[in-house]
Amino acid sequence: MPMIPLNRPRLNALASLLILLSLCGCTINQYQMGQPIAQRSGISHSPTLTEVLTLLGAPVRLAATRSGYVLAWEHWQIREDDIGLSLRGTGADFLNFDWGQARVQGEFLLLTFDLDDRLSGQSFHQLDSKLGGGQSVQPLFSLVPVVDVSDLLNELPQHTWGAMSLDSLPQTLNHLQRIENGQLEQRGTPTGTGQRSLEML
Amino acid sequence: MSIRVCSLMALFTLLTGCAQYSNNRGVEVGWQSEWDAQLVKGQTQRSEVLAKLGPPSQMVALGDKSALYYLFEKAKGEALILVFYNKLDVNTQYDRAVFFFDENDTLTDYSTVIYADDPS
Repeated sequence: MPMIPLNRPRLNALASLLILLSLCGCTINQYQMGQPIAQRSGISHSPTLTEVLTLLGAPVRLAATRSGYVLAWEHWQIREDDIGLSLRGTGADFLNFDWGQARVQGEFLLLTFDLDDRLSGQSFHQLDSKLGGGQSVQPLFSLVPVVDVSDLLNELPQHTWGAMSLDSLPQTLNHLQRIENGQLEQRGTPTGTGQRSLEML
Repeated sequence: MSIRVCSLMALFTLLTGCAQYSNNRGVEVGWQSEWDAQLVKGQTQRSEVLAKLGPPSQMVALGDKSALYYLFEKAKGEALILVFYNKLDVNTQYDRAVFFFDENDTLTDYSTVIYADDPS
């Protein structure tokens, strides 16, 4: 491969390119949780628990109800895109511009069973939507993120079942409604309303 | 000028990087093949399952019945950091097993889902 001589114009162009690259950047974060729910169509009208477990495998979530229990399977794909631009060297070098957006694709299958282990109801939700996004102009550094998907990335509540009694008092008093105690809710459910509003989070 | 360009290029080289990580949480349930032969619906008792597998991730009361839930959460991530372009991929899988018991603590149903580890 022939060497290209680095004369002054080319060096200037290369330096400009490097400076331009140093002033902008993009970040792509992708998260996948679980596996697609492939066998859902195989569920007949009133199968037994055994047939459902054979078809779908162990559920991801499990909760008790007064009339039986519910099992849930879920699969999530979350993508977060961020673009940042700094104006260093232009006279407005104290400003940073940021754009960001997040998108989610997901499946959630909920099956309810009676006390005789027979399917009593089912619900399937398929999601493909924008989670949100934003723009910002921030001085000096981009300290505030414009997209936040952290509430969708939590670990499953089964891990903290034994530790929930050590939580703060408002949360402990609400133990009958806690998802760690056998209740069920989807990822991203707001805590300011509904069964966890008493926790005052 | 050439020194400045070289310095900038060296700086970019120093600022780039990559990362790989894994994060495991929960009770490992990698015993499927060994256990399938020993679990008998209508015979195996809850105490036997607990003795063999230890404390579950979650125990759920289903009226007079009960369920033991074992969960092992495996997250693997790869990151590429080039300053002007950064990419993070995280893949989380849930190895899990659930056991249902009747009012006499006898196994009525069970199921396991275990994903093979990606050799890469």
